Amino acid sequence: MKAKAGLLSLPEELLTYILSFLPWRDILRCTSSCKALRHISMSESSSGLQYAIELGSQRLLPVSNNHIPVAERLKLLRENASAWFKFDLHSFETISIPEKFHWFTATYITNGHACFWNPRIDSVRIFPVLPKPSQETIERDFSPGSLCAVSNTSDIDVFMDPAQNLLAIAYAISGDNYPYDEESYIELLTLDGDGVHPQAAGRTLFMSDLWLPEGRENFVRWCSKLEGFEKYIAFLRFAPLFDVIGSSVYSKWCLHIWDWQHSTSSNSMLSGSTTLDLDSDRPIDFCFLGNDRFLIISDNLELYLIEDMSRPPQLLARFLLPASVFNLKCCTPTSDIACSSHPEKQAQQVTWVSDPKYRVLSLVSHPSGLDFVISTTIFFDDFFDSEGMSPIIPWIYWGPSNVRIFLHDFPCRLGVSGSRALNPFPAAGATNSDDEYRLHMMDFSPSAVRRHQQGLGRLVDEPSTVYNCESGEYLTTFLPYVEVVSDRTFEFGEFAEIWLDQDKIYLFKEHLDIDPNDTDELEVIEM
Amino acid sequence: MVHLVTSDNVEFVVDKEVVERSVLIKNMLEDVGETDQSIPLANVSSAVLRKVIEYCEHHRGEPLPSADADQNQDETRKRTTDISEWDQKFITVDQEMLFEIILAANYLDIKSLLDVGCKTVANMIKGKTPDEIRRLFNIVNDFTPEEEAQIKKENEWAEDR
Repeated sequence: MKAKAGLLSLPEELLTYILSFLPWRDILRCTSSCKALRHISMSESSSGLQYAIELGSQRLLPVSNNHIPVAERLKLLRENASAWFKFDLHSFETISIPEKFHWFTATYITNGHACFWNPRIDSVRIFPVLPKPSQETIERDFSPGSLCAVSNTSDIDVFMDPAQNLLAIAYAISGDNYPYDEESYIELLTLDGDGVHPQAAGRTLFMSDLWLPEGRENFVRWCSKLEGFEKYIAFLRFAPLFDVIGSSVYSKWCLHIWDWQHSTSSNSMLSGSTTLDLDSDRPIDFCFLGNDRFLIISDNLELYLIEDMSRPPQLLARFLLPASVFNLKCCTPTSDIACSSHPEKQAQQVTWVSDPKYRVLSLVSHPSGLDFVISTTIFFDDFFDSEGMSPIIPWIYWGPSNVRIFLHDFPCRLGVSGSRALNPFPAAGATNSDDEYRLHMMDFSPSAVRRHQQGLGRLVDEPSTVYNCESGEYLTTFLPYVEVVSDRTFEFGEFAEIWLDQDKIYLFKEHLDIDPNDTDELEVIEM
Repeated sequence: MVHLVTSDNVEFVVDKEVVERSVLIKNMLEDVGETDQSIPLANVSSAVLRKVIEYCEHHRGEPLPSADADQNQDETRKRTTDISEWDQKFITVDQEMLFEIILAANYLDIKSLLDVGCKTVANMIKGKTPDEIRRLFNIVNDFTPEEEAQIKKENEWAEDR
């Protein structure tokens, strides 16, 4: 009599095949039920399963159309989990930055490319940063006036996404009756050429007029913001409602979102009013979170869902901030999740992307000198309410457990990528804050915290309290993280920006002397 | 018509179009050409073959997945466990039959049937604890208490969100 067929009577390759249909947690549970199944998940032929488990536990998502063999990807992924513990700030390469980008330069690094934009002289330079030979790269240099093909325009903001080969330019055209006849548009070009982007619904995105008592928009340019994420492009602008008296002015803000691949117009808009302080930065910010969600950052965090472009985004929840915190700016790049959409244009050899639900956001408040590192998980809960109301969540219910607040005492915002942040802190033992600083690499992912081992960094899971000098209030937060402190020290203000991506650290060193021989520098550290 | 003989010596006479959903049989027929000789299937019992033929009858005429598409799918394949309504009803059988069908589909090389079977097992596993999985499939827990504690510890970080 033949033995009864059961799960364990299946040959190994069929068991592996069955497991390959399961989410990583179920694979783990199933392979913990007996030795035979555990053996299968450990064997060399099942690197696909191990890759799924490793990706899941590190809270990362796979990139499709990947041509690297799965065993190789698994190796890279395992290195990724520990490589950052060994980051060495002493070995770096330096790149000089052309002198014309001195000062007043809007710079950022995304997807292995640096974009240096100088709005004063209307020039943009885009170049790959120390690319590997196999990488696809884009290099552009726009001289003054060449950025926008339409004449008599002034450029407002530039957004680039090398992963999608997209360059978006917000510009304004004004006629004789300036400022009342000024109109603004967004142009969509390919980053590596001058043509209209092939995926774009059209060359130009059209803006709806803001309703203003005095007619046309006449908005305040220096605080507008253009940003894209996958198929969305969003433009935030501010228009004063009355004539400017003194340094602050009552104004209207408007955020307009397009699905640039499907239509050049959209009714997905939000607006409100705020007080514009002409001496400081924009009073409201926004950031994309992924999965059609975004945040409006003002006195509170408002979470919205983009459902379709024919109507305004839907408010899901309001997360209240401590009363004394204001003027928060988001400085978190979305490139490590955005690049999933067009891997063939990948500058880096990317094999995984951050899971939008397990990243951190960094919000920086300059006036109160506080940096908020926020776990994005909280923004992906279901905000279901029986009455269809979007909940208002007080700080005390969501904040302390999902946030870690740091004192911002170095004149540079922190670098963030995925679940990691790089932040300068006064070196231990330094009595004077002008003394010495060290960079702390912090990983906030639950897996890094749970897998933390003695000797590999320091686990910080006790609450910390910072003093908000603006309000005299103490703020206690306890989002856990693991940190590694570099032994290299920096002087106060030695670098002006930190960027971070999957495998590199970039420190932007600005030379403020007006010596023409002195150029700015970018220090690049491989992780 | 093709003649098939099962392990328990039962002969089935099946339409060529139906039986050719099995890549194994299709290749065999291509090798030997037209023949009246019956094909022995030593690994498949009559009860199982009846089910397999029922499946092939229902899906006759549907395009077969090409080997090429299969390769591309492997990595990017959506790990979906969706099963069509008819297939779901068809595969509602006892566990022994389910695993026999999977083994037969694997042996006869009928990719779509293999997928239906494997997805069904995957769905049975989904959301269950190791203990529940053991009970469901009659698996003996052969770990020592020390090993079990070690695995539990390793998996702990996964269970927390």
